[in-house]
Amino acid sequence: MTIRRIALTVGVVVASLVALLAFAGASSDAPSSALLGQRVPLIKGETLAGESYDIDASRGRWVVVNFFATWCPPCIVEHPELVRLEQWGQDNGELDIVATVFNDTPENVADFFVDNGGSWPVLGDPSTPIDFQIRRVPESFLVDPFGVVRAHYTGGITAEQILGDIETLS
Amino acid sequence: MSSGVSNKLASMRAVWLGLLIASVALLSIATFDDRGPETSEERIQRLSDSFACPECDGQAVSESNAAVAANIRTFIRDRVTEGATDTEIRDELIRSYSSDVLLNPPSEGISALVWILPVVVAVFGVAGLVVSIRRDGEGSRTASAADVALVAEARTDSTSTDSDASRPPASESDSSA
Repeated sequence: MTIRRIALTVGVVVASLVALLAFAGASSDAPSSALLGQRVPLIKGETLAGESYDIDASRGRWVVVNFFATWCPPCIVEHPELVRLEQWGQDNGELDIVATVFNDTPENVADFFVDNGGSWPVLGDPSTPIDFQIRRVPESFLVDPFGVVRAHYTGGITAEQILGDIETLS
Repeated sequence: MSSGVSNKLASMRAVWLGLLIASVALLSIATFDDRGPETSEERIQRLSDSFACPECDGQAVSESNAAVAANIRTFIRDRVTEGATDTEIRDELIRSYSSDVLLNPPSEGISALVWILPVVVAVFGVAGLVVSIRRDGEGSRTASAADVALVAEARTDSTSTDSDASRPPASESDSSA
């Protein structure tokens, strides 16, 4: 009987520890990105067009940081919305766009922009998606004029969505 | 002790000694086998093997076709080329994707349970086995009254059968008389 009790106790303890291990860190109310409210990670370097870029040069304006790939259908759907946003930003000087290509070639990106429009800087540094904890594309972040990440979008954005968030967060 | 027995013992000792030397030699070769310094490609492969694809279920970055895995492979290659240490690369990936990105969980914090639990279970399992075997051994040493009676009865039967068997068989002349 004593052995049975010990075995039962050990079994319960082990099962509890296994359950603790299995569910540790699982939280349904976790933010969609740990970067929200944080200073935007550094995006600096040479664009695919050979120009130098530094996100800090956009301080004072909102920035949409977009992660995309030309092989990704939602990114193709999203692209005209980014073109509209770029136009809005050029008209009133309050918004910049920067993109980082995710697992794609510079040639594909160049062809994609020729076919679909847009002239914002595109970088190809693989460390940028890692700094932004990107798991799949498209993903975008809205950075405020102070360089703080204010919103995170997965699965594609619309111009109305971004402009609405800028109005709300301003 | 006869010379035959001592020769046999000596040859057995020689066999065991030979096995011991062979084992030590093989372990030494396995431990100190020097294939030269690790190349960059080998290092990239080793690192890619040690990280889990964040979007796949336990699949190594080196084996996954997911875009995020491909990006991590490119990242590792770039960082190795730039001269980053394994620890730096590991820390950068953990900072972004948490320790879930490690295929081998760290031996600290809650993840340490992965390493501790099997040991705890094994220790308790062996202890339980030992206790159980000892119990069985004690049980067999204390025979019940029924067991004693059964054995005594069997012995009595055996003795009577033996005494019958020890009688010389009747000769043909006796039987014919």
